[in-house]
Amino acid sequence: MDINQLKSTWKGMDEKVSITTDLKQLLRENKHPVLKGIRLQMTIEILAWTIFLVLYYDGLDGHQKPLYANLLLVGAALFVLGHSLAGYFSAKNLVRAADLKQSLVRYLGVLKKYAFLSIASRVCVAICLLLFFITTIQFTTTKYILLAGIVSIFPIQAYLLSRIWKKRIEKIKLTLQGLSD
Amino acid sequence: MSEQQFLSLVKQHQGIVHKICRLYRDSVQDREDLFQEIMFQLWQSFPAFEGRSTISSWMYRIALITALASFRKKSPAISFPERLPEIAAETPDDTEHQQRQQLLFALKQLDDVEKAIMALYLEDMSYAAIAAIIGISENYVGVKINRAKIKIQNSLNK
Repeated sequence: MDINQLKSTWKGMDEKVSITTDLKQLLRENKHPVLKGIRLQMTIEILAWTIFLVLYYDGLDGHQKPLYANLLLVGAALFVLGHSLAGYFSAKNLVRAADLKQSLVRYLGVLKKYAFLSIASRVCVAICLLLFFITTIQFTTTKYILLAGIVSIFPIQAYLLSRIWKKRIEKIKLTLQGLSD
Repeated sequence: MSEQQFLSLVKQHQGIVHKICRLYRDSVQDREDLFQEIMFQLWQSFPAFEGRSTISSWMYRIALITALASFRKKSPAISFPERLPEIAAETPDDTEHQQRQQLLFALKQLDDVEKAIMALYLEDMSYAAIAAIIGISENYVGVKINRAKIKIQNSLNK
């Protein structure tokens, strides 16, 4: 095929993507595939944390724990929810500049910050939960071993999460490399 | 401009969105997700559209940014339809359809940036218009197009 044939073939490409939703509905935020997922995650997190914060004071002896442990726990819960909210708004606004390159440059900056926030919030919540539970524990050798086991899971989780973000960041970086003269 | 006016404008040019979805996504589910995402981003960006460029250039710009910035789902969705598709409907024996499939296959061998530039070039846009949408110099557009053309010809000749 010569170039004119290629152009006419491209222009004649009329196979449509099968869409089950009405076009008008697609403009609604509640139909957005990514935002829908984040909203669901946020709802589950809010519910879980609300139940936890309601129950922890009596059920988990929250009133016997030091004030700093209580504050850290509530702070960590708010951090996780704030992080989800930041993710929601960054996924909502993908178009950030007048051209593709600048848009991707700015998006990469947002993605890096969000990745850091994502990992930091998970680590923070794990540390705060742990602190909350161990503040009034009388430690024995078995309990120290258990604690070491639990603590060793955190870096693995953080590593797996960072790998997911690294892949996403690398993908955008690679695209930007292709745009550099 | 009202939602109704936006929809009628987009409906006239929605072939652009379908083409970008086919070019950048392989599975039916991924294409549908990208289509939804592009429509949403077009609507979000519409108030900033001042009419300095054509509606098709603007739609290409938003569609390409969305395709390159959004992420695919981790695993491909597997569907089990109750009936098998008609074989004749899937593989029509007409030359135009085959040419479209060949071109799509050749374009899919390119990297994401080359795909974007070639989509605009095949739409008959000038180097200046492509440079403005992508954000690179006209010279570099030329370099990229020449490289992509060679890759496409190699794929088509295989």
